[in-house]
Amino acid sequence: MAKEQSTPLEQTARMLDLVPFLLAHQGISINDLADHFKVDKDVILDDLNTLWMCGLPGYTPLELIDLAFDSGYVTIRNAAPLARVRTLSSSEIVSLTLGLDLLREASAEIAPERSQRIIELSEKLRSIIGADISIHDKSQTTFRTVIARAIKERGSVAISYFSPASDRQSERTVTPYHFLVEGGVEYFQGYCHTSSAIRTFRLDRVRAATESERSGKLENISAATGEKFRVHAAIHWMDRATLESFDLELTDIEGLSSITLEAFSEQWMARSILASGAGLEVLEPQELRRSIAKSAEVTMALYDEGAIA
Amino acid sequence: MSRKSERLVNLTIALLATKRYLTKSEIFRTVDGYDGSPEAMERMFERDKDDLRSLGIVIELGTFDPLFEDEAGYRITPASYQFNLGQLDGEDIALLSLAASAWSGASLERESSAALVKLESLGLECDSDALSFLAPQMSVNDPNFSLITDAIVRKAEIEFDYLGEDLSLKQKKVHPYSLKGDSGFWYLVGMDVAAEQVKKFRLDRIESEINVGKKGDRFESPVSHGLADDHLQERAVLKVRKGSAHQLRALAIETNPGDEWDQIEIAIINRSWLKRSILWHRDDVVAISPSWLRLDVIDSLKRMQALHG
Repeated sequence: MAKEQSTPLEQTARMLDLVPFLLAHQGISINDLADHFKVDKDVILDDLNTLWMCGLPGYTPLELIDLAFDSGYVTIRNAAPLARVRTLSSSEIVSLTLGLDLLREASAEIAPERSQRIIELSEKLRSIIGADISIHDKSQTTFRTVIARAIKERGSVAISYFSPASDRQSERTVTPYHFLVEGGVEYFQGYCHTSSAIRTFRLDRVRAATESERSGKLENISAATGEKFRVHAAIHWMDRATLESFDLELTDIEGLSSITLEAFSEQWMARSILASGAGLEVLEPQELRRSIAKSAEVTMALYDEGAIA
Repeated sequence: MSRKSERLVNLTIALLATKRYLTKSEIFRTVDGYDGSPEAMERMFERDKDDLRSLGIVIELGTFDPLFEDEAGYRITPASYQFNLGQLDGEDIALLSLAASAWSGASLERESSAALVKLESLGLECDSDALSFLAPQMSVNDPNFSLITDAIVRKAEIEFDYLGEDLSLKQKKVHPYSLKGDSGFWYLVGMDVAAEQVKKFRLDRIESEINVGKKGDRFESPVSHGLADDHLQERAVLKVRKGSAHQLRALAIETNPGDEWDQIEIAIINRSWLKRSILWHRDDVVAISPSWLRLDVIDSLKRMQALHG
């Protein structure tokens, strides 16, 4: 756990919340307590030592909060004024409402009987803060970002994937390579460790996605299957859309006149370069140069007078 | 051990426990931690009040007896201090706990952990049946996320550098209205102060840390806020080959079926996105009108062919 100094204000908030928590968990170990409050054991000990000096004016033993924690287990007495659980802060409410948005989407399929309850809770909380902060579609937002992160960090994801063809849900570990859109549907392609092959998955059929322990041995896999497609391209100019389509950062292209781009589908690469609208020029391989010139020519011919009825 | 947090906790206890308003001099005399000159104590107390308010604690100012011109005093009412979400049962607690745990490892982890601690302090039995059915995972890691949600709730102006379509960084001053997660991205909607227009900003295009305006400065939010380009959009007419370009078809306002080609009309929301999308679909999509779009596409194709020919 991160060892960071908390500000007096953070410590105050924690101490106020410690009292009702301890009242509900008499005899909890200091380690468990530190876990719940997401801080170091030393921090909690400091909190307890400070709290032990607090109480009602007068500050005689009768008025002080009575804490015992020498044995490593904490009990509390004489804490009546702070016994109440504090009201939720607006940022805590935001975190809960967004979490409920995810639950609502997920429950719609898995546990529809809970949906109404989730909506009621969510409305109750939203009416308190009155701010417009929400998530529209969970599967895309949450799972896509899990997968996007794995692509970026060359990691793997554990997914539950629904296949309508076999009408079955399967659990797979996948090292994802990239996203692609075909026919208005978003997919991602990657090496499926479960079936030991490169597979394409439809994003909206992913039912769950979490980061997986398995390290993505991306280089080995692509060397073994020869699937990875590399292009050396000259940068004539670059706009934001092109930058984002190749998942590059500003710093990746700084001062460069050419760049090596990688993808797992030659077709995806050819289309993405054409879409750059002459910002990128393929230098290698020659076949791709020719195929892009050909696509441009064929498409241009459709703009001739009378080409399309 | 922090003297300051100890004093803040003692002040909270004293103000919570009192039935009547406590005057400043009573506070200075009885609450542990106030010492020094009267001016120093005065300053200390002002800061302490601000600090407790920033923790969401409401300090009431009033007089004991309105018939006499008494010195004003302070107190915290238990009703405003205490957690109050109405009647909650074990299922609610389970759902809220799941919602909070969705942030593990993500942007609002700290806020959601604090909320979780409060939920666990209520002493309500958690319905473990409801707990087991799903565990969603939020995966936004953007360090600006909590700053934005906080600014929306507080109606505070924010400033940041935004990546423009041409990759230039533009300094933006924005009144944040809402935040939405959609299709893997987070969108902030707010008033671009310099442009006097409501605009949409994608969170991952914010290239700097967000600067949040001073406490207490609140902007007026409009009763309703439509995006500036919601109305009077120009429309594009495209020919799309049968059985292809579903992504563009999904946006069609009108579709006129033909033999080999269908004609669709879509609203132009983002010019460069539209051009890219037309190019991406190669010889499956032809831009018919407006003429600037058609000429732009032809020009890109010509240049692409010239570059690669």
